[in-house]
Amino acid sequence: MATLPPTQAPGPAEYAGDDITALILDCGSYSTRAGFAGEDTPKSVVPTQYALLPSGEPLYGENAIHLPRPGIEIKNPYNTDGIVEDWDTAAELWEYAVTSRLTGTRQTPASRNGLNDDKDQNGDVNMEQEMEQQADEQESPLAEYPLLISEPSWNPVKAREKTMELAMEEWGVPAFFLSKNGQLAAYSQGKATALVVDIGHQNTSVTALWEGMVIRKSLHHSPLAGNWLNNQIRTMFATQQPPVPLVPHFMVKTKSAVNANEPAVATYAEFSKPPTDSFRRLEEDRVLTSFKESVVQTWPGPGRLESSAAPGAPNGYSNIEYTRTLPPRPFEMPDGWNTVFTSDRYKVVEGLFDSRAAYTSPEQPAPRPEDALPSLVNRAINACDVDTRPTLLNNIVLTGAGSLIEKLPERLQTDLQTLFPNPKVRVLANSNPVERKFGAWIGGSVLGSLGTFHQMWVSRQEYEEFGAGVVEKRCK
Amino acid sequence: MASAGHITPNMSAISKSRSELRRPSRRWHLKDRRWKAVNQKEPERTFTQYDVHVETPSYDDEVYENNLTHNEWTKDETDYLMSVYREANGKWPIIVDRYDYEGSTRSMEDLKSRFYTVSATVLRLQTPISSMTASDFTLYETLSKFNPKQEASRKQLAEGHLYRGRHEVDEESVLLNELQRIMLQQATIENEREDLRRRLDYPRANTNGYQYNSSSALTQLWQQLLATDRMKKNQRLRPTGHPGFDGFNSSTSARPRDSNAGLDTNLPSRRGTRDSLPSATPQNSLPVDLSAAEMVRFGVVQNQDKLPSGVTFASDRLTKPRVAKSTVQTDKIATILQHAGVPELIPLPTPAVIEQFESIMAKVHTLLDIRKLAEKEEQELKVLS
Ligand SMILES: Nc1ncnc2c1ncn2[C@@H]1O[C@H](COP(=O)(O)OP(=O)(O)O)[C@@H](O)[C@H]1O
Ligand SMILES: [Mg+2]
Repeated sequence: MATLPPTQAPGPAEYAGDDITALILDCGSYSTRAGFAGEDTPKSVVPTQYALLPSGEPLYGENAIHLPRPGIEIKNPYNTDGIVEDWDTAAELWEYAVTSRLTGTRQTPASRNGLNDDKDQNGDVNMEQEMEQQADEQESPLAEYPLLISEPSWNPVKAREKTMELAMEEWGVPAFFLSKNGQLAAYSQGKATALVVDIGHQNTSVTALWEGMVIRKSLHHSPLAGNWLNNQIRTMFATQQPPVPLVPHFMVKTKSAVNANEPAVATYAEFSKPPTDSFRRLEEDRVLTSFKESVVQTWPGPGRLESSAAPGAPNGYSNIEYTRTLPPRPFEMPDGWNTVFTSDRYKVVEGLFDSRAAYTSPEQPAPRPEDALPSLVNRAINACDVDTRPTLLNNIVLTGAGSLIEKLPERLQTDLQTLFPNPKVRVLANSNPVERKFGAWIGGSVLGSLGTFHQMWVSRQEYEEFGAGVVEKRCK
Repeated sequence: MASAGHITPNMSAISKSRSELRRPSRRWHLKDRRWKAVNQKEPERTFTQYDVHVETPSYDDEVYENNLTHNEWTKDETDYLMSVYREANGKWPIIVDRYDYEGSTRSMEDLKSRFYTVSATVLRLQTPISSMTASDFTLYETLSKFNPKQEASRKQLAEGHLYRGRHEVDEESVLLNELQRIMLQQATIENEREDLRRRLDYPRANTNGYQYNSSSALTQLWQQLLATDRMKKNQRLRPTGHPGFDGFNSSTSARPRDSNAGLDTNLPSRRGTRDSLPSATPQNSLPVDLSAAEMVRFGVVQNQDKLPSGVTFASDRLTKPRVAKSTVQTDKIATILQHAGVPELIPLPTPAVIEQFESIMAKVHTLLDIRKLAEKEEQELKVLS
């Protein structure tokens, strides 16, 4: 609907960020990002994982979940397919993400029901008394801002309607919109036509966008993402000689420096009741994330890691042998144990591109070949009209914190160019890690502050008239 | 109220707003908040100017029955096509993507064909062809001319092109590179040649070794490729900088390594500065500004001496001197010229040719005079002896 010729410069009226402050909520399986439209980065970034006390009380936020309390379980309201499973918790978590940093909390967050009903009489009645607490008891802090929420492109209809109900009924938002992650990430790069590759925590997804509209048949996703990489690294650690001991921070009280591969000299924390497996896993993942950040590298191509090196190389000399000649990278565990990594630091990512190269173990079955990144893109491209393909291949936007592995964009570029030798393939990966981490949120921030967007909001009136089903009609 | 909403903000707005992100956003205040809670139950819809809908042809049952029936299409499906068209904002890649009518497997060409036919018919029903405005008629023509088969085969070609293998792509770039190299070399050679001619004041022969005839095809090919290349985003070919080859004056300033660096080949673009120069070089007195090289090339001469009145043909200067007062003399001249290899008919009387010819003729006359003298001497000697 709201289309201006792409060549036309936007008038001053188009920037609407100052007129209506919209809230942007990007709900990922790893972290939940919230902030106001028109801002650079989300002010509030909260882990999506939460701690559940034995009493049944949930705790949210970075500080709460990393504290080793007896018997706490770490949970995630999302299932492994990146879809919300536990709605009550997701609702609380999202509200926490908004209220903890942005709007302030109301007194009784647990009892949400029926509080929005009398907000009409409220508002300016108690202006003089200025009792925020009282006001907060009466209305949700979310009731004041139009709310834009991001969703995975494979979000089922039920979940979409549920999200809308939550926003309208429980939070009482004046207007609402649901937008696909990939679409938003493209906007963050100033693109309305793009093929977005988003590497998140639970899933990697591809989304083709044509002049601002999603090409549905292009939507594909796979589990080969950040979390899968963590498991590759775990398997790699376990198969090293000697195995790499993965010791998270909370276990270590003191440490001293030791030589590479020497046993650690450290004192470990003692617990009357050892922390649960889920807690330990969460803390291990933290170590693994820093391992991914500082050690792991992608073989940039050309060719696969296992394939033989450039022509002219001695017979049987493969890229992986070449990587052994590169300077190794050291890594130190929180307890001081340390070693260097040579070709294995490449091998853990290789499975993203070449499924046969993945580490496998009884817990980690081999990935399906069609889930590898180049195949995902290939499948998405082939689902689009022939005439759109060259343009899409020339505008591949790479986003998601999982894509921050060194040289990953280069490898995607070379693999795709090999797959499509003729058209010019161009992978656009923002060199600023913050922009790639928060791609979807930033796109939401851009979109939420555009004048053209204000036609799109689903208003409360419409919701009341048509019910939650309106989300399918309006948020395409 | 829009029945369906799509996020299709325009690109420039997105990028613009991205740069505007740096501006400090308005602080949130408690007071604001309270007021807003009352006054802003929903965002004001002040952006109606963007609420642009695409149009689809409208028809009722009767119009459909009488004009639009088709044995592969029901009215129901036609209606559905129209609704998808509106919903997709008329973007065909989106229309085929969303089209889902009882599991139909219609291609984009099928859909386009149906849509255009319906559009054209409705257009014709609204305005008879005879009273259509020019723009309506053009639209009508375009709509009725759509050929789904041709379009489908074009797509097949496009697909084939898209999936060409490494090998073919490499071959193409090798060929393109080769062409580029040849053309650059040709340009350099030609420039050097002209430079040399200028220095030596060497008359330009019209049957020289420079194979312009055979390379004209090459030049044409080059121009064609260059023109298509210029439309592309990633240009693979670089103009040679020689207008004779490129078919246009490239704006690249004379490259220093070219021997024509001092020559002014970019005529139209430089004319402005030329005219503003006070110096009256000979070229400037011509109605067309030509470089020395071009003057040679097009046979333009500036005559310093007085011209005879009336029209004369340059070819006269090649034929007249051959005819002497007596037939004997004329025959003698012809014999010498034949002996010297000067053809009887010289096809192109370029200034250089004329000059050359005249110098030959001068020599012929000298020769004739000397012969005459020699004969006379011989005669005398015979008489004396
Ligand atoms: N610098 C980094 N290098 C590699 N991986 C990273 C980096 N930072 C975060 N990650 C990984 O990115 C994943 C989270 O990506 P994100 O896009 O935030 O996911 P989601 O959108 O699903 O919440 C996690 O698996 C995390 O370990
Ligand atoms: Mg994400």
